Amino acid sequence: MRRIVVSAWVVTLGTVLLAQGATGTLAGVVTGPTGAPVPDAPVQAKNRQSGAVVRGATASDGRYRLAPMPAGSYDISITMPCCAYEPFARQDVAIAAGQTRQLDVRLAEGASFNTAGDDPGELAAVIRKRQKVPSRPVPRLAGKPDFSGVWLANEDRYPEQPALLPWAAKALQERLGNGLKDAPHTQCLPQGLPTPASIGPFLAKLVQTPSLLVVLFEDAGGFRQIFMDGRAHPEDPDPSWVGHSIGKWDGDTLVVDTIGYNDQSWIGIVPHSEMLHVTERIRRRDFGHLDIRVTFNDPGAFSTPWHQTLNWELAPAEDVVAYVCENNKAQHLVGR
Amino acid sequence: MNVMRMLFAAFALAALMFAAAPGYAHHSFAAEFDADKPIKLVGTVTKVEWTNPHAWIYIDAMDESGKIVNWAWELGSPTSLVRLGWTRNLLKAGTSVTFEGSRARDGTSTANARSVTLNSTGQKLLGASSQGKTQ
Repeated sequence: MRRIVVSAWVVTLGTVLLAQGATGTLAGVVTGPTGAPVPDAPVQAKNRQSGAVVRGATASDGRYRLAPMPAGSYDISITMPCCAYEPFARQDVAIAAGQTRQLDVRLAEGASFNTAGDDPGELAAVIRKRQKVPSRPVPRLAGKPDFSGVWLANEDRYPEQPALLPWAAKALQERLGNGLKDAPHTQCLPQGLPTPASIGPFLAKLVQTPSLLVVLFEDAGGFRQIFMDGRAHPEDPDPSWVGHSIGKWDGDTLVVDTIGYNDQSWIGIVPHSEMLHVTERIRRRDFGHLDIRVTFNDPGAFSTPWHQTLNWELAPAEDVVAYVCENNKAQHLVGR
Repeated sequence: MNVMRMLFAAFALAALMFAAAPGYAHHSFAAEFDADKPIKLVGTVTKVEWTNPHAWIYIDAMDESGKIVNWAWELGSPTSLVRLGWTRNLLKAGTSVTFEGSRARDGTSTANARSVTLNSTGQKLLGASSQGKTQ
């Protein structure tokens, strides 16, 4: 039997026992609701004692293998791109030194209900397949990296959990409990921060000048402006769906600071308050990749800042198109 | 204390379950359709609404009593469908098709389209992605 070993890597070493060789392995196969293998499923194991994280992904036959893992107890999670599969979580999985723990996972059907044309993961795969991204140096503009281009706005493959204050945790439970029927998008409103629609089967187009970065996206609103002309935030900005963004360079990294959000938008499905303050550190790693580290700081909703790591891929064969949400027939939304 | 522990455990589990939060949903098919009500209909296309965020295709199909009923089928966004190779003229009025999906929870003649087959050729236009590729 063909076994493809996907190399796993330790993100945070913490109190890792690698040196002593007290490590084990987690391996298995990930399938969908019908039993078909799920390729490229991101598998994450978090050590319950040290917090160290081991990550890997399934091969084309759905198999994965995480090794070496310091012996201990782990929380395992798999989160596929929105929304074909429900996320998977299994707590307290023991990994013993010198042994391989088998954990096969059957992912349940997700919120997109397998609707034709509504699986961002599938769409991303199709888009990737037709791209020919040349190997070139990162283009520069006025001495700084130029982010201009059409990007496949991937979500965080290994998402962290936000530490929610009680009201926010309750609001989230209600959203999950009613099948997300009140999601802004179901009313043709923007959904997702800091760039709306970056959660779905959407593309984002960046247009950069030395003093302004424009983000065009395919959702209500359609654009963000990131001012790089040295202006400050307004003292009391009117709350809006995308906030007020200013950008400053830190070497070759653009640091974008955004305030002035309303409390109506959802971060994916997570609630927030008007106190939300978002920082994005954007770096063009190479010609074809944009790495974005997002920090959501909201003392009105989170007890500690929440982070996302986004990796956008250049999509030179695509373009954004006008997207007017005109026909969301919400009358069928009756909840669960 | 047990209740508190249970509550905490439930919350911890929920916290893990929404680990996907940033990428959860731009809409809520789960709130709209019922997986326990699968439906498969053979019929004729009467109308195509090629509108964002969801395309709708209407077909006339015969029910058990022999009556012709017009059914509305919801698909993904035209923006996505085009990127997957569809065009707005792919299914014109009069085209014979087979649709499979789940019925709406509200009991109307509405369903989500999991797979669409052209009856003239047997070609599956686009299927349930999590059940393997079609096309």
